[in-house]
Amino acid sequence: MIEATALTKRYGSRTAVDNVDFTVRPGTVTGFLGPNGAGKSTTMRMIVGLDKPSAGSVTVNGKAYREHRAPMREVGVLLDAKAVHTGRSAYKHLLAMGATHGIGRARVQEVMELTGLASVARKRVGGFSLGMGQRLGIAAALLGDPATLILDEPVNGLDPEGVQWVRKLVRHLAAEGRTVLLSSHLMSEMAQTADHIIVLGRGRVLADAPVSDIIAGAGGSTVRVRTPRPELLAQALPDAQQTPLSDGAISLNGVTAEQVGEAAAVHGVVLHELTPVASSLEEAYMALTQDEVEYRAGGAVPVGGTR
Amino acid sequence: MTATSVSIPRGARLSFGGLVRSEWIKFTSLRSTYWSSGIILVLWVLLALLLSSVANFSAIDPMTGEDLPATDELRQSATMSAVTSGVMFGMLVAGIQGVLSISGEYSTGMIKSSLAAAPGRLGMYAAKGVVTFVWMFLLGAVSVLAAYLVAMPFLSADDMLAPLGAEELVAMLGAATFLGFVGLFGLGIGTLVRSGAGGIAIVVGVLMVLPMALGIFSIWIEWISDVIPYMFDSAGNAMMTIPGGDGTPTPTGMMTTLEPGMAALVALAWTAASLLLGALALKGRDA
Repeated sequence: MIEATALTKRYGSRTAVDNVDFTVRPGTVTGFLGPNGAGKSTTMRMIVGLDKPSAGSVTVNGKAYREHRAPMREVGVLLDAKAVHTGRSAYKHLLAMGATHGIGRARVQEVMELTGLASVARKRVGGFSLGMGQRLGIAAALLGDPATLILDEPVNGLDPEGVQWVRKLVRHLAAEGRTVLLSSHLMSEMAQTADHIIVLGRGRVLADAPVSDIIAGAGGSTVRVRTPRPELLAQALPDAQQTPLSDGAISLNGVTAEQVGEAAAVHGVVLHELTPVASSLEEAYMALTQDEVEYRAGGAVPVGGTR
Repeated sequence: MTATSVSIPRGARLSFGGLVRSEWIKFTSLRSTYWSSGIILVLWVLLALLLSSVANFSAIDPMTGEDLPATDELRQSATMSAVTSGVMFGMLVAGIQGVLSISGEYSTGMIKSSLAAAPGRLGMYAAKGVVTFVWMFLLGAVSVLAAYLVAMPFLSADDMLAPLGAEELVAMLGAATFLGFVGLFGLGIGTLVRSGAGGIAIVVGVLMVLPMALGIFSIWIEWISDVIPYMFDSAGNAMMTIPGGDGTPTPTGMMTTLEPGMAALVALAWTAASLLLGALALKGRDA
């Protein structure tokens, strides 16, 4: 459980994180979503005490991070891929990290196997690809078998297989009851991995809601259909909003692909195409970050409670 | 998968002993450590070889050019100069190594991992200090003893060898301790400025440029020559000097030097000041 209260970070006149409140709960994957400079990394750095908040506070499991007797057992953190001395081997890096908490070789071996690093364990980190660096960062985060994981852009630089692996790992860790906070600017990635999303823009919380709510709030998902008898389909689906597309297809708003298919079958409407359009989290996100003032006035999406 | 890991000891937690072990692993897993330590040892021994092979010149009266009878005092000074002159190189490399032990973490981003594991920060810093001091002290001790062994045959051939008595051992101890101090001085400066180049410039400045500049200015401004013995490198040199029989400071050329105990305190003060500045920066600034 991570709780931020009125968390603020200023660098000179620039406010990187502006009076932010949020709670990250155990057993779920919570995503920090936002463009570059939105304050995702700064917030994560404040959680683990690397940066001091200018105002407000953030706690991990009820205490400031630094007050824990075994910080690595509370929180595992991947800040950026290469928070590692390039002259050292992966094995020695993990061994040195573990040694601080009396965690020895057996566990180092375990996390290296878990992250697929065993074959490059003795190689110097300087020669690692970005993907290997990410795996090493994740291995380090898992060293203390922590109750909370904070992963900043964990899929950055990973190949598709690696992305799959991170997604499964993160889901698995949350299913074990751990608190997982990860950041990304890849909305599609978030849609598939996170249960709950906190959208940050210019240091503020723009939205704090389950993934489905965020998508719904931005106008819902759309369905693309192609039919020789659009007027019949319109009768079959009186609630759906139809928008003709330039290629002759129709975009339907406010209905699911299942509803369209069933209605078409009942009314005997021939369909040549029926496609759910999945990029809507991206659109939701663009709508949110594009004009935050308008958003806050309109309140189209469920917002972080305290705002 | 990881939920019930049996490979983590029960009650595993952050401790100072763990931090020291961690820093030891970090220090000994970098090639640069062995390079720089090797350079110190080799240069130190070579210099001892060179100086001991020309030690018979110490027994020549500089005014008349005649041979002087070898006295115990002359033997002592020839022997000690042969075996401790390596500190001149050693201190530079030790200082640089001290800077790099922390600036390397900043330049690679490792510092974020280190401080996330030890969010109190000062524990990690103190552990780094322990490792740096112990390594440099042992390196100095090994180097000075190796230098003595290498110089022995040449010195005794010229009847210039001083046996390893208490005074000689104390001076050697002073050399090794000074090397440890310089390593810590570098660590403090490196933590303060966070940059390898900047830190090395300051360390070299304090150890070499400052005393040279003061030496030049003391020609015009007399009181400056009173300050020179309190410089870090002068104090370091005095730490490995055997004082004259009556315990008064031994004149070396024009310069007066501090008595070794006092010199050790002065060198310690330089070290402590640097470490304190580093600690304040580490604790106060964002990582």
